[in-house]
Amino acid sequence: MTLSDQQHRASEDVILDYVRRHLGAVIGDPELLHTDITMDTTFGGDLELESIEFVALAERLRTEFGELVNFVAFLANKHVDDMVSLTVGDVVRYVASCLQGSSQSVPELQAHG
Amino acid sequence: MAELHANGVRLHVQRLGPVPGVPPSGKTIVLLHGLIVDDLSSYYFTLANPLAAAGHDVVLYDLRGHGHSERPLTGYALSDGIADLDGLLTALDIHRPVHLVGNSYGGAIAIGMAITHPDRVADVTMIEGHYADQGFGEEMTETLGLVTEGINDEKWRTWLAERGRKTMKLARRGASLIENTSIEQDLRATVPHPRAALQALEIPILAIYGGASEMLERARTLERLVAGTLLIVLPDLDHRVLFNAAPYLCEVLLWWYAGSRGEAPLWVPPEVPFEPAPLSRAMLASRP
Repeated sequence: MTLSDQQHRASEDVILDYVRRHLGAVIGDPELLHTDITMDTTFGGDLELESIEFVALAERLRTEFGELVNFVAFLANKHVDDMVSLTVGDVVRYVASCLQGSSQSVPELQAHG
Repeated sequence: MAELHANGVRLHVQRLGPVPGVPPSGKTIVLLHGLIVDDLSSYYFTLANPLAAAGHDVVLYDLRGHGHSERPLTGYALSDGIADLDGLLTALDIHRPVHLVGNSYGGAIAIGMAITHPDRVADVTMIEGHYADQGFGEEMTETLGLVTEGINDEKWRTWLAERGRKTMKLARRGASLIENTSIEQDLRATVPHPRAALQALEIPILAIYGGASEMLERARTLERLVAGTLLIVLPDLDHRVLFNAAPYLCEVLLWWYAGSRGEAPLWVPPEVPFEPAPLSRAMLASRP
């Protein structure tokens, strides 16, 4: 693994923590708060996230990471059925790709968190 | 943006676009969802993002009592829904005519807005849309009755529980809206629009309905009454057109907003069978 790969991986781990935290706030369900949320966890199947809860999550991530994280492009080519199998990792990787190359690095964001 | 106050109520609002690198179309499209078990997410996962990606300014919000908007105890008349929309446009500083899309009950708000605030509306798209013609109040009340009856029925409760947390939450929230607010009596008391008001509409209307939907007769009446109506009937589809034909709807809407008229894009039905919506009239009518 190159240094760049390691940095990228670290960024994804940090973003995953943000997603976990915001998911907890959005769901507010004590049962789910104890669910182990990994990159492979699906929003529809594993978390049974309501569609409106996903909208709230996307809104929170956009507020957290700024306008660079625009879910329009991410969702424009997805169909309603795709949402069932969408994973936490899909969202984490998308956020990471939005932030990549920008001046806003994820470790900086962590300091604000 | 997530929350706005309009007409004295807190509304959950999403405004999508513009998208970097895509020239803005200059059109604002406002998406109006259906009643009880519906909210803005129906559009978020179907039409909203593709329309925004094409350069449109897309506004979607949860109607009062629905989704993440405030749930006041009263104020669920059609006129309240229209006043909420008017207040929302003002709060968003949108003063040019907008393009309204109404799914199911959202259609009634769209048509009502076009009649009462003609300067606010450029055109209307009805997706299986209701409108306040004769019998509207009774029809809405009957639908709410079916939902309540279905949720309170033991067999349906088991069926819902088997579908997990998501469906149960949706059902509970829907039942609570009907039981704890004035929505039923407010809708029952709706005064229909005079036919002359519908006939006087001068805006273009794009109407997309399912061939197997019980709304189809309403759509044909709308086509007869309003001269600028383009009716597209999708064979075999029921009330759930938005979910079962989302890619086609995107194609037609992009065609419509590009200013195209005449022959609409061709509908090619998917090979998989269509499923009725959870707690839809169709599903409730075919009890397990």
